[in-house]
Amino acid sequence: MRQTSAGGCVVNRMSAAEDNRRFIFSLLQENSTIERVQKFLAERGLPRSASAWQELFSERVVPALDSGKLTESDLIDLLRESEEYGTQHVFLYQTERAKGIEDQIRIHRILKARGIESLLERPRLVNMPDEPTIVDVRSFDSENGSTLVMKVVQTRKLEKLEQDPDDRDIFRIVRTPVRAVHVLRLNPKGMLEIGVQSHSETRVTRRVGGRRGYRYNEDLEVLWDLCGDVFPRDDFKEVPLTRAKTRLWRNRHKLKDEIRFSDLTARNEVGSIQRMATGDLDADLSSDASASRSIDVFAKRAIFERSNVYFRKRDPLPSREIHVLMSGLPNEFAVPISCSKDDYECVLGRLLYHNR
Amino acid sequence: MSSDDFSTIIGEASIGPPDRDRLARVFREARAEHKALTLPHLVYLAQRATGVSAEKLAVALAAVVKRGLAERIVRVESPSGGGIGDFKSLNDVPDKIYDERQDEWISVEPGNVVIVYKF
Repeated sequence: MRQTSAGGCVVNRMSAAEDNRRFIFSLLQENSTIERVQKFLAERGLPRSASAWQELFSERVVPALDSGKLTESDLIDLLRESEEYGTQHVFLYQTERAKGIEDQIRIHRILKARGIESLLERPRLVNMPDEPTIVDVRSFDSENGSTLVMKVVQTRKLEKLEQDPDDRDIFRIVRTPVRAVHVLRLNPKGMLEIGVQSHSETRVTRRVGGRRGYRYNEDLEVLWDLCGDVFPRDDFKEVPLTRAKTRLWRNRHKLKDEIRFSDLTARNEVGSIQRMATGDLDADLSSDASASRSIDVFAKRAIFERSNVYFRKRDPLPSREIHVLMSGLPNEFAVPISCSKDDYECVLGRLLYHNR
Repeated sequence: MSSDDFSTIIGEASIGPPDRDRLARVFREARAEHKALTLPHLVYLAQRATGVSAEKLAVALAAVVKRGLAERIVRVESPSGGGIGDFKSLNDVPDKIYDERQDEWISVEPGNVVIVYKF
């Protein structure tokens, strides 16, 4: 009897491990690329050749896990890098109290009060929770101190209008659940990045009450509510990116090897708006002499509210061209595509440099 | 085929001198500067320089495109301004397209679509 139950426990543990693996694999497929996983394996001296995801997992990753050359913790690190950078709108804040906030005893006490202190040892693998859920809390050493990261998984409802198959005059709203991942990251210098997963589908319905609010404001409220005991809202001030938006354009000739613009929007002191955009998405607005002159004249008494900037591929970073959308709230920028941690940090560093 | 042949091609569209040569100059300039012009813009330029009607201009343009001296593309533009996708024909334009300039998927409406001639 005991043997059976012991055998049963082993089988249960193995099934749970298998389920975890499959879940991590599915998330990697959604958030990463074959090339990135291959690079991860290569860095560990593991075989990596594969032409498709299924082959990569079954012929390369699974054998490495089974032989102990790779652990689930390694895969979790890869998953963290894959889903925590890019496809986000990032909001920047600054605090003077970074050291106090990041204090490990404080974090442990707060998480214990909520019954989730185990997250400090190991993240939860959560797919589509009913409510926004904290799934990962960790600190790691970085320059001049440590960085504190919290990850939240939320189920969003993707809305689509569909024609009723039986009556062409009737349309219905179909809501499909999708998994959204948000990240809060506080560095030793007191800069907090709140990365909210992009809402790429246009919202079909209005909020209750008839107001159409800015979706990312709603997301921020949810995150401040959920994580506000760890990151107290009152201790953080927004970091507007107005200076970066202005300087990137004004210094565009010096920065022509670093960036290009596909559009920008400026607003002057009497409320007039100038919007200038390239016809071709791959073109550079600053190469259009008459458009550039026109912007420079208008911008003398205006601020840049919005721009689409592309950080060019350079050696060593960024490893490819990275698109940054600077729009929405003053402290907001977006990296709409998935990118590596190194590329994201490179671009963030450049933005902060031009914003100083 | 060189751009000197513009006069020949336009002449084949039943546009005679002096409009033929004036229109050829407009096209030659567009090609030299790699211009990308919508049809209304071309109509404006043509009518400023010549007495050519919009209908005859369309015939001349079709001939120029056929001979490879310009490319006719269907451009989807973002509601916020600027192109977000170029297609060979209207049939190739999808119902929905990712608008990189807004980080949003949008439905393509007729108002978002322009015909562009790239010289």
